[in-house]
Amino acid sequence: MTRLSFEIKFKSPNALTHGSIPVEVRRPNLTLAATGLTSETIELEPGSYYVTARLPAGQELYGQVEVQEGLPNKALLRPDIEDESPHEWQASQHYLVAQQMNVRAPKGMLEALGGEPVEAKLRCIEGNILKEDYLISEPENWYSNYGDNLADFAISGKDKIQFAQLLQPNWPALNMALPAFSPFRCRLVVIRQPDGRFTFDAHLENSAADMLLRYSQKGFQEQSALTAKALDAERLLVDKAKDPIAASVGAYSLLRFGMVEYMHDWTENLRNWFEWLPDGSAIRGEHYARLGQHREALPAFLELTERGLPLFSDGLSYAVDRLRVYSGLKDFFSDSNQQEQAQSLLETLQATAACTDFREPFTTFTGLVPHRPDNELIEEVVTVDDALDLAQVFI
Amino acid sequence: MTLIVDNRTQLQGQPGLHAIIAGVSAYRHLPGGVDVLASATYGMEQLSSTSLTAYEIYLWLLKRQAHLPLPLATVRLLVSPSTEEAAQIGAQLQQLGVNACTRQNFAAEVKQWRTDASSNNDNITFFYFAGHGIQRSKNDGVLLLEDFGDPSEGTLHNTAEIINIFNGMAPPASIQKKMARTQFYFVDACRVLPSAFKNFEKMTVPDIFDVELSGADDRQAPIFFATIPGIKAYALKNEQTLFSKALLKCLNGAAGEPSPEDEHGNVAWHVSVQSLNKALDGFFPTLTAMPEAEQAFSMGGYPTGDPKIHTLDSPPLVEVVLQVDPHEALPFTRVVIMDTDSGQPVTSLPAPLNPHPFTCQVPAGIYSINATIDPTNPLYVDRPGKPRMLLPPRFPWRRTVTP
Repeated sequence: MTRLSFEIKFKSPNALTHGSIPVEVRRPNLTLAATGLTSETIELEPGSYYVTARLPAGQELYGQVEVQEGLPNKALLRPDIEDESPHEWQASQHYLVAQQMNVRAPKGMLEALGGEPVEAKLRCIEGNILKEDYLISEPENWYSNYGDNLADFAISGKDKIQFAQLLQPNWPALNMALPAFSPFRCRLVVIRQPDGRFTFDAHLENSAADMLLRYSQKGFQEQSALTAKALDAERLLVDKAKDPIAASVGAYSLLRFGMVEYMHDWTENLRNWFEWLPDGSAIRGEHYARLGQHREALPAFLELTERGLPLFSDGLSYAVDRLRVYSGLKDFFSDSNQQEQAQSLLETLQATAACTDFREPFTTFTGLVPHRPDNELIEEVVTVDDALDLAQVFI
Repeated sequence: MTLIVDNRTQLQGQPGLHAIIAGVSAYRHLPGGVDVLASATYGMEQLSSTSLTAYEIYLWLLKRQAHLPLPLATVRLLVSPSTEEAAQIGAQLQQLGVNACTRQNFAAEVKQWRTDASSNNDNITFFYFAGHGIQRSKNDGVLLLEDFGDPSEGTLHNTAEIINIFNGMAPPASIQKKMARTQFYFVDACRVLPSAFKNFEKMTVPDIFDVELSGADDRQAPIFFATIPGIKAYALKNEQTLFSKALLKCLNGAAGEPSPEDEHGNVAWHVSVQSLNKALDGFFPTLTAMPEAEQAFSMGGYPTGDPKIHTLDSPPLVEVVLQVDPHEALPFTRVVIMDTDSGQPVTSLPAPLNPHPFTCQVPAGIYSINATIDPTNPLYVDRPGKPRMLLPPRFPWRRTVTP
């Protein structure tokens, strides 16, 4: 047996170049020889191997290697030139989120004279939407980068839960949780789609967690398990650079793939040490429920009233599903107070869930007034104050 | 009678696969139905292919039963066909004695199915529903049964909640009680919440299984949803649903994955939960051959581990889509797919590629695909290919031949 390491080569280096990307190593007869991470080495018998890494957006890095006994063996992985990101700063969006970003007329066809009109605005929501204890304001210090119909905002974390609100005519107001909390930042990517509509997406500062979130969202169990290993969510709670949001991504991935045995008791720490984080409660509640400890799960879910909407749509989904089951049980609640609290929280969460886009990993729902979710279309965004005008960004 | 396959006696208590398949096309209380119109129909209409789909799934299970991970123990089939569907498969359904998919029948059969599933922890269950559906959360939805919308009942009275069925199939709290630990769910229905329903989010769906708190849940239980939350599922009129078309294509090879070599060095191919997920996730529009339909697949439930679903007879074919960029270079570009073992072309391709992009099929394997400029042209360059693994279902190949 000998060891194989990996090197990733993109046209221009980006966050993934030195990242931990899950790889598959296959023999010439296509059988799977090993799986692992590009940041690690893999033990193999000498022979010929084909190595691939499938990125969450669908691109494939590949390489071929002859593994020889007693020699340092390295597989060089590259994407096809045609799959490379157009810019280094767009790499996360390009490789992690399958989405059309560029709107270019085919050569030889008509070209646009002047830019497309932009009528869209962004606002920031801070606070607890469930308790109607929040403020809406114009985003401050959202540094942006712009190119190819894509604006990339760097958003600093605060000591409150933040949502971004996107407003555009003939579409409902769209609210998306931002995975940022002091001292961690996140990135908000606003994209102008080919039909002129704007969409947005967020990225975590922790690139391993961001990649795990995308693999997990797609249901890629193998890649998720390997990335979760690299992320080591438990360590993210105890290290100096505590990152409970990245740890939450790890926890949701383990819950999604039913790998509850890897969760031990650290979800209790996630819940107790970061009292501002709604997802700590939702994760602990679902963890208890999977263990069959439903009476312990309920108080954890009920903490959402004080903490607010989970940042991740998995958390909202778990809370709604469990509270709906518990509400139908006889003799389950410790007292009528608890029952009323559960019923009230369920009604509030259900109203949000009814307007939630569960395709999105971050809690994303419609409604101009966040605590009254609805699907009402915005007629004119010009009338909305305290907002960042995207016309200033999409020049 | 809806239990149309019953091999329990032959299996003598050995684990087996227990399937329940339901398809609803004819809705009694929707426009065009045979009964009093529902007070609100939420824009839903009669369907024409979901019963055919359910029947197709049954036929597939029957035909491929020797290639399933466990012997086929039971199959329950409930369908409510449209008039057109009844003309196609009515005689077969009558011969099988299949019942209509009303709430009462569905609830009764799901309960019997659970009883069978609870005979052995090693059992496998298979659940397939095709019909109208609405979304409640990421993992939950409501399945609308034949008598949905009966004006004499509550709006969602004749429906079933996925989460109630899923939770009802959870391992019981008592370790003395058994339950199949491998469960496959396929929900072939819309996952949109009609805006009118949003005013009724508190509407309750009657439980099929009494609410019971589960024990530790260690199931391998993926739910394959025909579409992603918030998006409609579609069907080909009087044929089958897009999801079932993609699913059957995948089960028959498009989601093939090589198993480890046996002691003789032979490699068998199989379809597993993860290979099915990858194929459906990456290639849903092309598997259905309806790229314009706004439908995409998603997986929920507990997709723990990677249980096998089906063993294939032979290595599957891979659809290779060849595209030369820019289009103007096409007359000068010759594309060849070479078998890396023999060094020979595996298939004869037209030069220039026509139609473009050009699609062909090759057995799964390792190939290099070369683009050669012939006759030479100073504007374009050769793009020799490196050996690549071509695995099902599809390998899109696009090469830019400008320097």
